[in-house]
Order: sequence, then structure tokens, then C-alpha cells
Amino acid sequence: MCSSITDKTEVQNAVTISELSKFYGEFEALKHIDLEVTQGERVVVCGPSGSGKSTLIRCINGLETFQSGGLEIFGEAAGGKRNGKTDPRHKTGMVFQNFNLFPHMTVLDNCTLSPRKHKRGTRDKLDALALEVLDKVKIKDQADKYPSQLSGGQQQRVAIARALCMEPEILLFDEPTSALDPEMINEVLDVMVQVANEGNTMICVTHEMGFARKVADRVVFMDAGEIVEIAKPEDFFSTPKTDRAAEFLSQVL
Amino acid sequence: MGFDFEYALSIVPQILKALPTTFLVTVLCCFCAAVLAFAMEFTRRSGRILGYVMRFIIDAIRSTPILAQLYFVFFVLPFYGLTLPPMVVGVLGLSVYYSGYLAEVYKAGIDAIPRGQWDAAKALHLSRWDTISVIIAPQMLRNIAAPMGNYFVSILKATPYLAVIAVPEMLGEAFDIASDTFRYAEPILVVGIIFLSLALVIAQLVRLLEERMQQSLKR
Ligand SMILES: Nc1ncnc2c1ncn2[C@@H]1O[C@H](COP(=O)(O)OP(=O)(O)OP(=O)(O)O)[C@@H](O)[C@H]1O
Ligand SMILES: [Mg+2]
Repeated sequence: MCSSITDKTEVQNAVTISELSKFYGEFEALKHIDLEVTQGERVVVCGPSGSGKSTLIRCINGLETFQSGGLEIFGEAAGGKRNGKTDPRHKTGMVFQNFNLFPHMTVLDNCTLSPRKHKRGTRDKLDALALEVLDKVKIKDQADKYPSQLSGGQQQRVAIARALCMEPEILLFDEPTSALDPEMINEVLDVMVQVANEGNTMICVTHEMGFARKVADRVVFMDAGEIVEIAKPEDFFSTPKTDRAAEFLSQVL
Repeated sequence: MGFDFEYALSIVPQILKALPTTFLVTVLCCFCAAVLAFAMEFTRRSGRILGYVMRFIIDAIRSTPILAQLYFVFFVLPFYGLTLPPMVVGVLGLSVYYSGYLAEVYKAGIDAIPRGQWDAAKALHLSRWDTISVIIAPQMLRNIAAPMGNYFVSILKATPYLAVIAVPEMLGEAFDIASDTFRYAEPILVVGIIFLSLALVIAQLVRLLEERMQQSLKR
């Protein structure tokens, strides 16, 4: 879409975060965060509970406002607050820990709602597109069911399909497998690997280290509202540079 | 003076003459109050200043007697040059009064919707209106069908207030008969039974509606 804005040969930044600070009242949940994610890159964010991982990715798509610093999506500045239809955050899609499917709509309607409201095409065309995506996450046969009729793993796959139907340029995941029963985690991870391999830009908060090793280009480790360490997964897991990361890894691995 | 069953039956047609008025007022008020409450509740949630103003208005509506509100519109406004037909005043008065209560019911119904629903709507970049109309309102209605039905019955039962501003509704009609004949038991009982039947019908309708709305969750 805006691939021609920069004429550099290097890959474009999908997300550029600079000096971003976020306060909840007096409490500084994000402290001067700097992070660049290039187009097509897969980044895994991890860190102890309360370190600000959710807050960070919620800032990227505007679910949270921030007080200072900058956020750019494909080179376009996104302010602390949302800014109507032209907001560059419209290029993001998000998958939540608790799925957050709309319980009063069928699986198919969940997937087509946003494209329909954004007039992406006729109902038939959007239905066909959604079914294609649902097929990809292996849940096409459930298209006419309601979310409450599905298992957790199935619901999360629908949520991924719903995000994909927006054809977002950046996919955000916030602990997509944390609310699942252990036996359902893999079916969701498999879909996420597949999505990752299709070249999407992904920022994924997760403690699934196997997933991180398999698909992540970089691992971002956060603690107490700061980015403590950024490294390639193989380096991060074998030789963490900081004590805080080492301690965290000893707990989750 | 015992209860005269035959006399009771004989006045039924005369009281039923006012039924269309009562019915019309009830339906109009239920509709207007429901729509008005919707606008009020979402205004209360929109901006900071607008929200405070709306909260004050809702509280003010609920904290003044309905008769005071009706008298105000009927007797005070004409003094300032605004004269409305009794029927309009009645529908307006009852609608506004009950919209204050319905807004509170809506609030509870919306508060019961998980925050994640708003998040998901935002993450899908839906406009505020789409979020409200497609995501929030249907779930809210499902949460509040029962209490909302109760207020619809309350609106029906409040229609006799309109007698004070000369709207020809059923209880007023019954009273006219009573004061002509000095027999009170029969007209009052007849009108009571008619109100009871209407209330039962509304309650049943609401129950059916509620069951239908719950189905998408149970399936
Ligand atoms: N709405 C809020 N109001 C006040 N404080 C908040 C709010 N949301 C989060 N916080 C605080 O901000 C900090 C970061 O929270 P966040 O949810 O981003 O952590 P997290 O890294 O995602 O943790 P978890 O692994 O438990 O999901 C925490 O200390 C939390 O208590
Ligand atoms: Mg979190």
C-alpha cells in the first residue's frame, strides 16, 4: 500500500516505536519503549506477568492511549489517540487471550462483520473469502455455528480467521494460547505457524517458547515496563544477556 | 349495596371505549422511552462533560414525581407559549419519565457485557455506531429483556396518571361512570381486570422474546 513511500533498498519498518511511555495514573506501565519491527518480521514478546506486554501491543493498535513518545505504522505517525478512518492503525489485526468472539453471531458473521462494515466487497464475495480463510484454519465446517458451540481451540482459530479476514498488514497476538486447555494449544499454534510462514508481519506475546524458536526472527524480553533484551531466539534461549532474562527463562522453560 | 355482576358487565363496553387510547399511549410510550433511554445511556457514556450533564438529567428525571413532570408540561409550558395536546403531553411525559429508569436498566445490561467485546470491536476498527448497534445493543437487550419488560408493564400501569391532564384513558373512564352512579366497586374492579389481562399479555410477550434471544447462547 505505502511500499513506495521510502525509496531505500532496505526493508520498510512496519512498526516504529520511539520513546513511548504509557501511564495508568501515576503508574508508568511502559517506560520509554523503543522498538522497530520490519515488514514481514515475526517478533515474540515475553516477560513476567505485569511487565507491560499486553499494554505494549494494545498501544500499537490503539486499544490503549499513550502519553508520550511516538508510534509509526508503515511510516505514518499514529498519535496517542485514535484518528478516524485514516488512522494507520487500521492496518493491524488482533487476536486476544480470551478470543472475544461475538457470541450472538455465527462464526461466518464474526469473520465477515468488519470487512462488510468497511465495504470491502459484496456479501457473497466476503462470505466466500471468509470461508476460504476458515478453511485455512481448518474450521470451515463450523461456519454456521455460534461461538459457544465450539471448543476453546476452535474459538481461537475462528478469532484468528476473523483477524485475517481484515487482511491486516500487521498481526498482533496477546497470549493466544494462555486461556486454552493444554490439549488444544497445539492446534492453535499450528495455525499460527502457518500464518507466520505466509510472510505476515507478526508481533506475538506468548510464553510458548517452542513457537518462538520455530518462527520468531527476534525475541523481545520485557520486565517492569521496559524492554530489557532483544535477541535472536537461539541466542536468547541459550545465552540470555541479562540476569533478569535468565531468571525468567529458568521459570518458564 | 352488594356487588352487582350484571351492572359490572353492562359498563364493560363503556370502559373498553378507552382501551384504544390506553393501548396507544402504552405502545407509543414503550417505544419512545426505549429509544430515548438508548440515546441517553450512550450519551452518558460518550464524553466526559456530556456524560456528566446526561447523568444529571437522568437522575433529575428519576428523582421528581411523575405527576410533577406531567403538570409541568401541561400547565407550565403553555404559560410560556407552548401548548401541546393532552395526548402528546401524556406520551411525552411518560416516555421521558420512564426513559430515566430504562437508561439505568440499559446501563446494567451494558456493564454486564465483557470489556473484551469492546476491545474486539475496536481491534476490528468498527465505528462507534457499528459497535453500539451491532455488538453492544443486541447483547444488552438479551441481558435486560426481563427488567425491560417489567418497565413496559409499569408504563401500562402508569397510563391512569394521564387522567389528570384530561386524556380519556380507562381508569378515568371508570371514575366518570362511578361518579355518575355512585357505584365504585364495579367500575374499579372491571378496570382492574382489564389492566391485569393487558399486563399478563405484555409479560408473556416479553417472555417469548427473551426465550428467542437466549437461544443463540444456548445452542
Ligand atoms: N487498566 C489498567 N489500570 C491500571 N493499571 C493497569 C491497567 N492495565 C494494566 N495495568 C498495569 O500495568 C502493568 C502492565 O500490565 P500488562 O497487562 O501490560 O502486563 P502483562 O505483561 O501483559 O502481564 P500478563 O502476563 O499478566 O498478561 C501491570 O502492572 C498492570 O497492573
Ligand atoms: Mg497480558
